[in-house]
Amino acid sequence: MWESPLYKLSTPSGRKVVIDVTSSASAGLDPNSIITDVMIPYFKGRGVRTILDFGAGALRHTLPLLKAGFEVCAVEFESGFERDVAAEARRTAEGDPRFTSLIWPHDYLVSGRRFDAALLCYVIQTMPIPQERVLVLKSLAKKLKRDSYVLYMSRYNQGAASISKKQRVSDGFFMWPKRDHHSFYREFNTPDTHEMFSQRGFRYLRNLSQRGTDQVFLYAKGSGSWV
Amino acid sequence: MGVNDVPEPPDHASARATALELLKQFVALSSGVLALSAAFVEKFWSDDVLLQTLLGVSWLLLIGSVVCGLQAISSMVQTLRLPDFSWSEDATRRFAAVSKWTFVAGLSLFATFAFLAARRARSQHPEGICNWIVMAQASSTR
Repeated sequence: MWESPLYKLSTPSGRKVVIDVTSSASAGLDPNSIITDVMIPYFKGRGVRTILDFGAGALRHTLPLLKAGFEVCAVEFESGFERDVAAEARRTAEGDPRFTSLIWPHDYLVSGRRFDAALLCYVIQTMPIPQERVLVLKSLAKKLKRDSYVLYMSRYNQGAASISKKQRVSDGFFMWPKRDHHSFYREFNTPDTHEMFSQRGFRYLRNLSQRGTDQVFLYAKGSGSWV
Repeated sequence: MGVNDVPEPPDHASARATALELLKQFVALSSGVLALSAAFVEKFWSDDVLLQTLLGVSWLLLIGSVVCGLQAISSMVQTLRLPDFSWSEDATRRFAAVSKWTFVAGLSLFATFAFLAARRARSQHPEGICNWIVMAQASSTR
């Protein structure tokens, strides 16, 4: 589990497929405007200083956060960081002393650092093993300080119903059936997403979705008391 | 109020200040009863298990009132620090309610204890409760 971003799975019909969870990262995309327009001012207004970008990929959101003055720690598989676009972005980010990175899983799991906020953008729905999703949220809960935030991004109703049943694997689908390595995709409806976070102690704060198919939820790990 | 009169907007700041004052009263009064009764426990100690139980339970309730009062104030601070955390406000109200009712129950039990202890002392010393108090005072100065 987690030694490599490659997962060897079998479909119900017995077809062997290899899922590369880093292949779903979209290189060269602009940062999501919710991060730049909404979350940066929001985090600044709440004294957030350190942010964990979990599944940072090509550092799409790490770079604008660094530019905004936050200390950002990017977490990714080693091979994910080695991809051309990610490596280039990492070189840019390393010019900023507030940037750090942790290799998933070993560096991240043993690190004792704790953060004021975390980004979990398009990660959970690309993970093919359900238990690993739970463990990611569990580990995230440990890495976050008291009174901290998690921004979750995903999509829903993106045509999962029209994907061929032959592409069914685990509890979702493998994409790009003609490639050697596939990406994994599944959708979570809103109540299931809230439940998943609630079970790990995160409380739902607000919905920041700008389009019908977006799922952009802000959660908090926060107690009801100050001391 | 007339039909066209616009109602005054709720004054949250004053409500918070009043709530804080109320919580401080719970904490201060509960601590006061606890401190005084603990300081003079020797004077009105009784071998009657019922009275001992009453005193013990009233102390526990008063301690609960102090703890919940402090916790309610802490949650109130959290509400001001992080207004998004709406559950802090729920926690404030919950702790304040527990603080209030444990204070009421603790005080009532303590009053019951004092009444029963005094009555018992009176029955054991028919010359009067005043003498019992004098005796207690005398023993404390010895």
